[in-house]
Amino acid sequence: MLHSSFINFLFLLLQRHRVKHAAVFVIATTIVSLFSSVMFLSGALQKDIAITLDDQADFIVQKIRGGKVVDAPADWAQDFSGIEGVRAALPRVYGQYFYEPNGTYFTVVGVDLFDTQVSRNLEKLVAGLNIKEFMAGNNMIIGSGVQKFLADLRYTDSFVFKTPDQGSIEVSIFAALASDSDLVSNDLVVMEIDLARQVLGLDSGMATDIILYVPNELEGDSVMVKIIQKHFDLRVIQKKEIATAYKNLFNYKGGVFLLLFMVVLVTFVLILYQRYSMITGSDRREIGILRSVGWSIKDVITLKVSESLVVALGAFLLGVTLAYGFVFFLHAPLLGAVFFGFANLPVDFSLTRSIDLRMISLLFLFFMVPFTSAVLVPVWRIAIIDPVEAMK
Amino acid sequence: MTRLSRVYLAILVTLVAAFTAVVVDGTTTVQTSSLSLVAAVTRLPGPSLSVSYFEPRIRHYQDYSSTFFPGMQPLNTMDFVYAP
Repeated sequence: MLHSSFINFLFLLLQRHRVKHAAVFVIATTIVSLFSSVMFLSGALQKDIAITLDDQADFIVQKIRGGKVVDAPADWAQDFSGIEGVRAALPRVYGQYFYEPNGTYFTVVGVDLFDTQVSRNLEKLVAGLNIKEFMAGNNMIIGSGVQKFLADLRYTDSFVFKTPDQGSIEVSIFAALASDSDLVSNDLVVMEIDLARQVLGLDSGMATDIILYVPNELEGDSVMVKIIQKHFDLRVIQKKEIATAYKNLFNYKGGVFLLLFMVVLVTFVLILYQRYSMITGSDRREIGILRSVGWSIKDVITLKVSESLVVALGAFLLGVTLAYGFVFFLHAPLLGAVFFGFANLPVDFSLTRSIDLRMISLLFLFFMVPFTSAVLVPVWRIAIIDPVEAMK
Repeated sequence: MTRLSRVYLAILVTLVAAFTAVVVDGTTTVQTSSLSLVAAVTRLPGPSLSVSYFEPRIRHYQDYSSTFFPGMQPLNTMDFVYAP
């Protein structure tokens, strides 16, 4: 059936009914591109977050008082490092610094620059960074979102932090992180651990929480029991819980869009069914002529279904391509705000370009099968019309 | 083959080529190493979401001391069912 005269006739029909197909094509492309955008955003975020989780500690120990997280003594780290199976236990100092005039906050992180692994990674991250110079004074390295925010307020060299004890500390902006790491560093302010304690109002010898590295997964459960037995006011968070929390979050947001997509798709299929069920006089004549010149019902159905398939395939290919450009090259304006939020510093993340072939295949099936099915029944109804009757 | 068919075929081939380019680009792009470097320095997980001050920056560290969550809730929290 797929010989050149059939193809010529198929495209001739498409050209003849171009207005009718154009409307379907535009709506179908919009539906596919909207859902693909959500899928790309959600997938790329999950993939990028997975990378950051690889470097995370296996356990986080928080001190809880009355259901609230409070500062933990830093020397708990030494206490926990004695547990068999724990490779390292380290205190962590971090928190949010609220900038009252704008209602904005930064995430202040204190790093131990005597830790060779941290200083080495920091040197790799900021080209030409001299750790000794950085440690010599009150210095900080800021994310590009914070840099833009401070530059707008004319803080180009330093920023004065107001401390919870009614004091203030001027901290020099030593360097800014490159924007390619914005996904994790947009609101970051990295400084020496004791300086971070002063900015966040932590007493000397205190930490926000304690992290533990347990290389052997099999020892995880027994290590957790031993941690809990050490103190009675602990909350232990496992790395896999954090991974699940983020997975749930993005699957949830993606799932809401999937539900909307299903509703829109069903509506669209119903509209298609209605549209193709309306048999006009010209449709009847067209089919009558085809049947009179020897076309079988099967041939007519093949022609009509092929007509719809070309429109659906074109809409699918264009929709996915447009969505890819929208998410990874235009950074998903408006839609990105749903996933990244818009309550603090403006975000303009560039996500790592990735495509999940399983999801694309699923979308292809979910789109093409209902589309074709919606057309099949009305087309069959037209095709079985008696040619003599049709040409009357 | 008529001129019209050639035009339509050219459009279809262009779309297939663009889609193939998207698939190839999406499956071969390597993730930037700076993400893992930042995570290794800060030892903090999670993206730098632009969430409200009262929402946890790192979602799983929330301690329920704040009940102001304008964002969508995971299905396994009662906030999702009853709304805060």
